[in-house]
Formats: sequence, structure tokens, C-alpha cells
Amino acid sequence: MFKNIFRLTALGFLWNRYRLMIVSTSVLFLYFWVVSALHSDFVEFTHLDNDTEHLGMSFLVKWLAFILGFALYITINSRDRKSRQAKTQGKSGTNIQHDQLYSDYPEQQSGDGEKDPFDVIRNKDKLRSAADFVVENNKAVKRKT
Amino acid sequence: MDMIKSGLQKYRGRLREKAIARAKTRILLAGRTAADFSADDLEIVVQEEEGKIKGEIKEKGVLALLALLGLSWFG
Repeated sequence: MFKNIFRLTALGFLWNRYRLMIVSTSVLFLYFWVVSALHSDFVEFTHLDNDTEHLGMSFLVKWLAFILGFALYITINSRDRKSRQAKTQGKSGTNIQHDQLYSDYPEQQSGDGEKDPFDVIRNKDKLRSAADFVVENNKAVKRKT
Repeated sequence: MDMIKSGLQKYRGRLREKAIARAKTRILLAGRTAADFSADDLEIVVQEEEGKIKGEIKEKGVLALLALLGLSWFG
């Protein structure tokens, strides 16, 4: 019973979160399949008819159709992602760009107006371990001597 | 590419925040405050906590994968 509940919950979560992506991906594959089927039919027809005049053009049209479908797919999904980002930014009431590093965590201040000592660490790209500090110190000592 | 980049940044930010929170707790439990430590010492503590969190995530990931495989094998 729990297994089924778990499965349903996971499915529901995935469906709610990635509905557009799932549907659009399925439609894209269906579109690819339809275009391929049409093209293979056309190729077969030209062979039966012994008229290969437009065969080269048909390949060009097929690939153009593939590219067009893929471009449409990317546009729809990126537009949806942008609108979702705008919604979340609107909810939080900030105008901070997502491109900024650690934008969700602006510098925090403690209650008495003092700066949080962790602010420097918060904005660092990579943290150093105790071993890194020892190596750095050794290098500095060697440079001095 | 933008989506992946922003997702990674978000993940790193969340991870760092969690590590900082754990480091704060560790410092409090030791009966001291963050102001008692130098920036380098704090960096070491947060780095250690971040490493622990990454290890836990990996462990949980393997367990989740095993659970999923188990569900599909014996379901």
C-alpha cells in the first residue's frame, strides 16, 4: 500500500513540476516521428515513380522541419522557465537577478547592526581546508627564505 | 546552459547556507561565538561542514537509487 502511495506522490510531484516539459517533449518526439514517416513515404514514392528530381530538396525540408520543431520546443520551454522565475521573484518581493552568485542569500546582518562574520565565506567560490592553509603557509615561508 | 548554470549556483548557495548554519551550531555548542574566530578559522569550519553535507548527499543518493531499483525489481 505504502509503495503505491509513494509512487503516486512521486508521480504527482513530477507531473505538477514538469508538466509542460513532459508534454512538449512527447509532442516533439511525435512530431519527429510524423516528419520522418512523411519523408520516408515520399522517398518510397519517388523510387516507385522513378522521379528523383525533388529527392534532395525533400531531405533539406525534412531537416529544416526538425530544426524548426526543436527551436519551437526550446522557445516554449525557456519562456515557461522565465515566467516561473519572474513569479518566484515577485513572490519574494526582490529585484535581484538570478545570474548573480548566491543571489538568494544577500548579506545578512545580525540584530545589533554588526556584519555577519560569515559574509566573506558566503560569497567565496571555493573554500580552503586546514590542509590548504598549511600548504599555503609553507609556500609563503619558502618564498621568504 | 543558463538553466544549468543558475541551477548549479542555487545548489551551491543552498549548500553553503546549510554549512554555515551547521558551523554556527558547532561554534555555539563549543561555548564560543563566531566573533572569537578569525576569518580563516571560520572558513575551515564551514569547509568541513560542507564536505560532510556533500558526503551525506552522496550517501542518500545511493540509498535512494537502491530503493528505487528495489521497488522496480521486487514490485
